Amino acid sequence: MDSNPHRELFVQEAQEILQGLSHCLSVLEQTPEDEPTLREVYRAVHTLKSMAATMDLRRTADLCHSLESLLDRVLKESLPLTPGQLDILFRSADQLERLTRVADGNEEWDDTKQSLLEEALHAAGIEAVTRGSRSDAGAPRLESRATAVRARPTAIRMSVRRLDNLINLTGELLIIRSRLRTLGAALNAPALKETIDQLHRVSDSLQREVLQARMLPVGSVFDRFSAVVRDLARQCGKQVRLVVSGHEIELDRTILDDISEPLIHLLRNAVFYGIESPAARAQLGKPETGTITLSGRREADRVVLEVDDDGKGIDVDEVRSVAVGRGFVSADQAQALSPQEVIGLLFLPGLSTASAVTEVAGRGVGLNIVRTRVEALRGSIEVKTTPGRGARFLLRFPPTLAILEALLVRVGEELFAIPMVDIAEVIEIDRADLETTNILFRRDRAVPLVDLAQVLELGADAGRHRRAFVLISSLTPRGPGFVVDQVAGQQEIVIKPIDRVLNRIGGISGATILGDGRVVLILDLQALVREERIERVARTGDV
Amino acid sequence: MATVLVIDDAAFMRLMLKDILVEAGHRVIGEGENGNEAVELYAKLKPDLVTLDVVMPNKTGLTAAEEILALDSRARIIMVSSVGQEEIARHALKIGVKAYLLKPFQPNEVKARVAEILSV
Repeated sequence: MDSNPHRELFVQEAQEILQGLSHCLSVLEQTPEDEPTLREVYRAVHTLKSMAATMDLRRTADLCHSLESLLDRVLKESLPLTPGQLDILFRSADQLERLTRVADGNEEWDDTKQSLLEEALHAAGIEAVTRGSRSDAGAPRLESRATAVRARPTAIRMSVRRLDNLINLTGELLIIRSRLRTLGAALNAPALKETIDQLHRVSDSLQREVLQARMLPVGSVFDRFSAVVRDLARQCGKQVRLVVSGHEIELDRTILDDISEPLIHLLRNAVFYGIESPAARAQLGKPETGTITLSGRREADRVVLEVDDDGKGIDVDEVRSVAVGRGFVSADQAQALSPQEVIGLLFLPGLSTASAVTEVAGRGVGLNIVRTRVEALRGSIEVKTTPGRGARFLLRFPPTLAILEALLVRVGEELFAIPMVDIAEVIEIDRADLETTNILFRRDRAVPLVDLAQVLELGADAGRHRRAFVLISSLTPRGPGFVVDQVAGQQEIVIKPIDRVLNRIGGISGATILGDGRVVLILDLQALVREERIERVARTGDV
Repeated sequence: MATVLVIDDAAFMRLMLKDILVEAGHRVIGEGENGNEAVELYAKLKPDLVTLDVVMPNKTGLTAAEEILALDSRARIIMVSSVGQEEIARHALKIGVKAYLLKPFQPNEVKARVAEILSV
């Protein structure tokens, strides 16, 4: 049997099964006596075994077989699961995921882990029998007494590429309908107008549905992390538990795909830097087991993922002195920075407060990459800390990456789109006022101004008009305010990703095509501000 | 040339079996994921033959087999099981299931078993 055409289906289905498995294991971690869930684990392993055998994936089939034997014994003889058994299940799930990646051609095979694991499984199986306290004997009961813990979803599989094609086509449809509307307006035909209105409504619905298809519940990513936290805690001799909430909150699948690594990094930081040793915690009157909370929730039009720990928090003074010691800022500059700004320094590449580089964490690269990844997904990251009590990392994302409410603005001769969510207020000013100052006073706050024509290097011609507009951004409480020549309207735009080369020009996060076919670049105000600030600091030494 | 209903909770396994059946000249007229669907689809489609996986959520293959036989005492059912579950498969034979197949599928064996059942 030629297994290659079936490989893709095998991998897809295997991944789905392993995801369900992962979820079951995190349930079992909380309630190790949960028999229906353990049966579901058995079923998952059993199914995967058959599939792997069919594809002639010997190692996967063998591992599943060993797992099955262990699960069989536990189910027959000795629930609840012991921590040791749970540990092996987690490790086996990891190994199965690794094997699936190998099957998918995404990873090279490494034999050492598997044989150790198989030995451990064998030993655990024997132990389960000798522990046995249940009196039932006989063939494994394969019926589930209750319905499965997680009913298989009524879903179909679709390749991501096909989904993206659907979204693109929908986007094109929207452009065409805009044109139709313009053309229709020129003719006086009420029936045509009404039909175009209908087209408008239906295509709006179509777009909504298609974009919804990109959404996945964050639980699918969260479930894997219990294992990470346990491993890490064990490696550094700390006691930590992970509490997860908000499984069902949905997020764009692209964001979810890319957010795993940053989240894992934050979790690692929390375990390594944040949570104190059991002894230290006891001395402080804290419970010996530290708690990390990973949660997802909706807040207005954003999805917020939060990593909280109840550890020692971030020591602002220590960060300050490390930054000075490593030459990131001078002592004077460091003193002038507010605590929030000092915490912001943690995101600079190369800054780490660990005194030794260990395998676990502390290479000083991490938080910088986390922020880069988050911002590449049009998200933002905020850090809050209470010394001695813990730290909170908040990652905010737009729920979907494909579409955006934007303000169209003109700077000089060029048209740009700016995400509405980045704009707090728009006001009109007289350019003459800007000649003497670049600060705007608004509602008792001093808002520093940034001239977009200058930042985007659009030449001296831009900004000749008498009237101008200031977009006060929502990036920080004090703006800043961006000066543009004209505001050309607000509309929903479909985002087209841009070429990698253009991507390296800071400040551009994508492009869109307007109804008339014009291509408009989307500005990333956050990036512009940062470049501007760094430049200014470099130029004037003035923070 | 027979009409077949394939029941297994893994799409992948259904596909494998379907391939073999189609190659042997049969037509797969329906697919189901669990015991409940097995019974529903059998009643609706009345296939010449139905393959039932033993391990499935909600209703097991065995229970589904019983219910299908209650609907139609002449139903041609093949149980599909893994190595190690032969006990269940043998029990199934006692209640009226015509044959059982082992996973992973051996194409020749599948074709032979199916041909055998259809010829009676």
